[in-house]
Amino acid sequence: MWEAFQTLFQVDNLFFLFVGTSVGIVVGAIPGLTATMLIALTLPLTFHMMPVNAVTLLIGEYVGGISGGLITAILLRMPGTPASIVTTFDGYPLAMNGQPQRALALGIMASVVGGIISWFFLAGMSPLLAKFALQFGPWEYFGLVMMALVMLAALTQGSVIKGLLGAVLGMAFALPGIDSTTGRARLTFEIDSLLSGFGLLPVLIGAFAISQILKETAAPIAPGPGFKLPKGKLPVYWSDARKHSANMARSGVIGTWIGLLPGIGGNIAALVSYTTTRQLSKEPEKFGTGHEPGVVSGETANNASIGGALIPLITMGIPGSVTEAILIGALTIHSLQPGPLLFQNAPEIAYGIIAAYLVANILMLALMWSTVRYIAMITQLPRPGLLTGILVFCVVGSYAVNNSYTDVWVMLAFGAIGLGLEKCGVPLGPFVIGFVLSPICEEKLRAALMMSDGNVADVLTRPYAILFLAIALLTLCLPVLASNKKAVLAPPSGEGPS
Amino acid sequence: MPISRHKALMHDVYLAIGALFLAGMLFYGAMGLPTPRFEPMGSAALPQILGGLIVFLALLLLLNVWRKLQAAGETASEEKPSTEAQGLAKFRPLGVPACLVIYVGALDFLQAPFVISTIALVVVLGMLLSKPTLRTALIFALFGLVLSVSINLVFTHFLFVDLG
Repeated sequence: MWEAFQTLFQVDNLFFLFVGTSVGIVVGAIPGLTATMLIALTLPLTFHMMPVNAVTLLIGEYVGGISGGLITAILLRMPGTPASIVTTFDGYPLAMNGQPQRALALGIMASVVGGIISWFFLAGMSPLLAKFALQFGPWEYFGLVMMALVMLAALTQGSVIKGLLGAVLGMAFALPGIDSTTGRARLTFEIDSLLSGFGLLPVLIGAFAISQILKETAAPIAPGPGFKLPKGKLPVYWSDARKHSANMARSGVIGTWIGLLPGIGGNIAALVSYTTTRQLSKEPEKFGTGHEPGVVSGETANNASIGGALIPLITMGIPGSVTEAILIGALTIHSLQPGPLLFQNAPEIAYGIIAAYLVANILMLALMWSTVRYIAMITQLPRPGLLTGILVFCVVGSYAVNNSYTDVWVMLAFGAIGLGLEKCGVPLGPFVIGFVLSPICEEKLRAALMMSDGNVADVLTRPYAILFLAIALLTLCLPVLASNKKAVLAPPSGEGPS
Repeated sequence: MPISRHKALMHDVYLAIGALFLAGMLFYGAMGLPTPRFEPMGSAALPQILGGLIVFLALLLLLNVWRKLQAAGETASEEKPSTEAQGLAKFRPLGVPACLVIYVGALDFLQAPFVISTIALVVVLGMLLSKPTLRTALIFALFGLVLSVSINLVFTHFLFVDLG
């Protein structure tokens, strides 16, 4: 770990971490632009970088992107990222009560503390978990992938059927290309450009950036509401440490553990933490009126969820959210396979991610503390120019990966597919993660069946695989059972409210 | 049933039809794949499994739509039409993707110069997304020039990617 910090403190790595965190904060602060979109757009650039540089840049963007959302959430009641939605509950009223600096100071402090708490879990648990995961065979990995996919599909907002359909459609789009086992073309329909399959980058950029921009441009573009932050220091005192320490510790732990679970994300982590803090508070009625513990709990938890989500990513190669799926893409384009062997094959990357996460949090504190006034002004950039610029970056980024316009057409096609799916209420998260996990899922299942001579019952001899598959099944069945129970308990039609 | 709800149900129907079409392609593509010789599963298995799952989920979706239509009755109540966009703004939903397709097409098939094509795209998109005035066109032309030249410079000289 010490060597990872030494590598990180080399000028180039620090520079990329600084750039990533700064850009992440600005993008995170602009409502409509997310850390996921930024990371997807940066991915083509990392293709030409050293792996450690690439990882530090992307981790900086991730941390900055999630943290930056608090600025507009507090000042404008417009969460820059979904993870900051909870911050609007008390942050905005606190700002409206004449204390915008105090709200920002608490939000920034809480974000850093959340990040540091989850870093301890990340640094402490990851090497142990990776060692444990070395015992996993193909059946365990297949079970793990199924669990991640089903949880992600079932726990996303909206219909479970549509979540699952999104995941299965994403898996289906990963099938065309040369089959790695037989070496024969599969589902290419005699189209030569399909022989290498759909590239991960064009699919990610199309599904996330293009579809999001097309959606934004279709809606009326109103000039953003202005907010000028009054001059003065960001007030935070030593007494705050005593006052908010229990809340921060609890929210940090909640955020980390929720971040660990696939598909739940920073917004739910913040919401659960906020609700818990409110329930435990002696003054629950003050929540929602500009109560400081409300700002602290949400911001601590959403930043802590990043550290939590990085744990399954580096120890098992399982993405907890779309952003982690893109990070997996970043590692694979550098021929690095995330998973337990990452600690053996590329320790500088595995430990580099852990070290970069801590330093990015500290950089984020320094950057946000010193520049929050200017970032608040940047968020007022005219949208048409911003959206047009991003569209050009999308095209150039997709082209630059292979110097091929086929990738750009693929990106446009997936932009249209993403837009269509969203219009039909299909969440894009399971779609993209299905696309990323499909090859792993197939490879592990085929390997498992080969090892067991085609005997599916062999899975019954693998307790962890059974556990993962059981969790997947339970996740799938619980909503159905719950709705059935609700239907049984509900009064007959005509008696209840319509 | 309100029109917006009816529209949402129709979206579900379109989604199911699209999914069934994709499942059909998976089954058709899997038919031409060889039977497994050295392994139990073979390359056709996953397309078939996913095709089956897609058909199942699409049918569930259609069943849901049918149940909702049955429950609500088929009468559509009137709903206030949304305020329509004015001027060029009403062309945005189709205009922006069309511009993008023409831009990529020009770069790919006509091998149009990157800087000039990008300036043209930025100006047209700028006019579509804000006010269509001469001032807007000039501002966006300048923005397009700075953007395209800087991107071209970075990609050509630092990343060794020729943008044309």
